[in-house]
Amino acid sequence: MNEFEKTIQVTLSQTGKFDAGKAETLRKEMVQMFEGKLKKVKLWTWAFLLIDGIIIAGGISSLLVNLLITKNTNAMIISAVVVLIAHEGTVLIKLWYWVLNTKYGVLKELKQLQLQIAELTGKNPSSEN
Amino acid sequence: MQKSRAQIYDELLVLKCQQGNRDAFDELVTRWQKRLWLYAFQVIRFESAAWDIVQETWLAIIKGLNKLSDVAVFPRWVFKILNNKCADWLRKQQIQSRVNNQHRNHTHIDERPTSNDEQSEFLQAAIARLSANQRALLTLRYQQGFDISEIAEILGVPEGTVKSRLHRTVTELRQLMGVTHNE
Repeated sequence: MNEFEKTIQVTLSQTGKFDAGKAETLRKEMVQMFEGKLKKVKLWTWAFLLIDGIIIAGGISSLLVNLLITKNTNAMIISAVVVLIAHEGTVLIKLWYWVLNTKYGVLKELKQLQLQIAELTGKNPSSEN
Repeated sequence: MQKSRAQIYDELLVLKCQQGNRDAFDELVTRWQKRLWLYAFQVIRFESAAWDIVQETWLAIIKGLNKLSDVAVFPRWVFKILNNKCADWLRKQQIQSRVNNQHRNHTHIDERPTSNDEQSEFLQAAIARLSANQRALLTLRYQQGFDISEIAEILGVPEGTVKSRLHRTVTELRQLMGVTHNE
């Protein structure tokens, strides 16, 4: 980088008045939005589990009624299939969650390791914020 | 290329955010807010609009963060979003063409700066005369420190185009400043 380019770099960093007050307000707003999104995900998960639970309970009741009272084999099979599908749905959701969680966990460990290595090697970059 | 501590730390924060860590997101916003605003301001030259654009960018980040498969691309991804938001804003305001028509003359500033402060002031004026695209390029290269390939990815143009545009922009700046040689 020549002298002129260095001057450009310095000049660009001096341009504009960064309003810390606005930044703080925006930060709070964005954190709230992020929390809102997390809540939404949580709500959808609980809604899914609730619906799944209702389907499983309904399926089991139907199975029992058909098994003990009406003795309808076709209805029994349908109820059993519904219960199995709903149950597998729950299992798949849990599996998906744990796969993702493990992936993020491993990646986080790797990043922490990289961070420690960078600190130990004393790499102190100019691009640091 | 070896990553800096700050880059690794940002990646760690992004991973934590993807896991739903509120505090990590808070820190990420704090760390990135100024960088994003400075870029938006450099490109569009309106303080309040720059804040709006930064806000829109954060909303897009919140929406798409979990879809980001490689956290290492986070800076490029964020600046790509930001750049698109700035371009949308400029398109809406139709400022780019006006700025181009009004200011893109090739006359240089009359007096040559003598002191460093003066030079910086003159340079700021010269940068303001450039088009929004040229300012975006300069900001990405010299303020945000992206390399040519990263800038190409952010702006969605080939590397050769970035190199030639950058060269042209710096040459134009030199002409505006009346600098004829490498100082």
